[in-house]
Amino acid sequence: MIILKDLTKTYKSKRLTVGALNQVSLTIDKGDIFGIIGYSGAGKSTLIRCINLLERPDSGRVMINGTDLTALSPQALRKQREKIGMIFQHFNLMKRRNVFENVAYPLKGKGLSKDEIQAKVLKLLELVGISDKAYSYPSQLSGGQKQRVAIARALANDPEVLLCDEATSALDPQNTKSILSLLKEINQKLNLTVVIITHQMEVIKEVCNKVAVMEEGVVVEEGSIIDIFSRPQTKISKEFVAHTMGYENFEKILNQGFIKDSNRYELTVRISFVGQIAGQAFISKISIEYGIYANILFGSIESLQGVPFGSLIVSFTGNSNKIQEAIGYLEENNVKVEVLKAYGADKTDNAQCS
Amino acid sequence: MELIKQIMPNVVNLFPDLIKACGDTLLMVLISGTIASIIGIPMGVILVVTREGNLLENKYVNSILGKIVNTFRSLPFVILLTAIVPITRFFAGTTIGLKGAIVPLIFASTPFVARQVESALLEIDPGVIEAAEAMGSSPFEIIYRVLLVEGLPGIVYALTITIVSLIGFSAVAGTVGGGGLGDFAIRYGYQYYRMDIMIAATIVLLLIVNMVQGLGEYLLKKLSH
Repeated sequence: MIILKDLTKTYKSKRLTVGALNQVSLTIDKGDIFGIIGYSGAGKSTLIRCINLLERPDSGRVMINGTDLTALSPQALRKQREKIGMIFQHFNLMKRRNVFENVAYPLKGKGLSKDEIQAKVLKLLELVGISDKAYSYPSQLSGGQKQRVAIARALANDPEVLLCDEATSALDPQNTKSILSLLKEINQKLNLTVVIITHQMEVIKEVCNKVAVMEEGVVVEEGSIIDIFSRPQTKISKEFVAHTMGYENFEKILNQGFIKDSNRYELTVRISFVGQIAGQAFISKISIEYGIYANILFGSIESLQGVPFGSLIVSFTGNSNKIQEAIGYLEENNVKVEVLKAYGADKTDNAQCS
Repeated sequence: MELIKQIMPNVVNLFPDLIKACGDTLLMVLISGTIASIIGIPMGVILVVTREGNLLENKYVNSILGKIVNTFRSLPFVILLTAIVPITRFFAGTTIGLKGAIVPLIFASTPFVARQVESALLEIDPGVIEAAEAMGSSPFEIIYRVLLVEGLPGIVYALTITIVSLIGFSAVAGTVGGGGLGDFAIRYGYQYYRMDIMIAATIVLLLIVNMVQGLGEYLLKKLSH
């Protein structure tokens, strides 16, 4: 378990003091694939570097399995770092060592015999699926292959935690997918805790079970991935979700007001379905039962870690009370409803349902 | 043979001296180059790791060492040669001949090696060093298992440049009685108006320089991936 407590870090240059982290606290459970998302400059890179103290926070504590890393001597910290693997955006492999030697690097000087090292390295290369490139040099590999080597190297000392610093940002979509599924695979096989920082919601969606959203050095929102997707609270989370589900442009259009019939009451909502209920015909049901019109403006379905997650943007017209009842019915059935826009004559009670 | 005798009569007469001068030059370059590398490479490493934000950041060590290096680098070799006469005498017991030339050559080339090695090591991707830190390597381990390994092609290239310029320096040292090809060219050629001696010495120097450069580039190619 990783506990980050009140981490604060500021960078000082001669004229400027930049706050990178401001009282950040997070708890990451064993076996989690924990995503930290934010735009560039949000402080997520600083945060992940604070976990293995590549960056030392100005204040706050980093506890990993009960050990306070910030209190350790340099030697003891180095010993702990062996149990924290890390991979990077630009792979950071040694150019003059071949794949085998790169993976063997962290194993040398640990009292292992040559044969033991050889066996271990070959096993790791097999795990990441790159055994055939053992004697190639990094310059002869593709980005995805390099990241696989980096993962093998990071796993060499049987770590309990793997830190991924924008590990897929330099990869094409196909390689991104394959690296992410590899991360998931080793998370399950080795019961490894994985911390991923990224600016791509696609990455979070693909592998993470929990996510923290960062903005300006602060964690603004945190929760299970389903929670964040179905009910994002902050503006930035909403943006990330809208982008992933593909309706970011739609909201722009909605805000410009393309539905203009002020005589009717019209309520535009976003409806999220999670899991099996995503398959049910709620819309036609409420349309019939409550006698309201439901105009589906947008719909998409995504898989969040294998759980189907549907999102619909629906515009209801009709009697405002009936519409409220219909929304109540949806919420009773665990369908999440978020009001995007109310329009028309009767606006009195639309605030209740948001 | 007859032709050479006609074009370069003095060279043929002084051939054994030319060979000896050639050997002296190589010996001077080899000894001073080796010692300069032994001192200069660690100096280059220290200049890199004590930099701000680096492994063993130390403002004072970095600035003092940097200033020493700059001082010796900015002195023209002829001045250095005469300025450090007392030091030369202290170390070598003489200020002339081969022994007398080696001390100033070391003084001139060590800071050169240090700066060249520094810039070679700065070329290494900081991310690689960061990765090694994240794996739990100690600063010392990072120096000899990452910096010196990853920086080896750069260091080899730096030493090649150093040796080439040492050959030049050694010729200058020759003018103050240091022996070697420079001495040979000045003493037997220039002062007697024997053009052929000058030309022969130049050709030999060119050959040596090109061989060193070629060898350096060959090694560089071998070492890079």
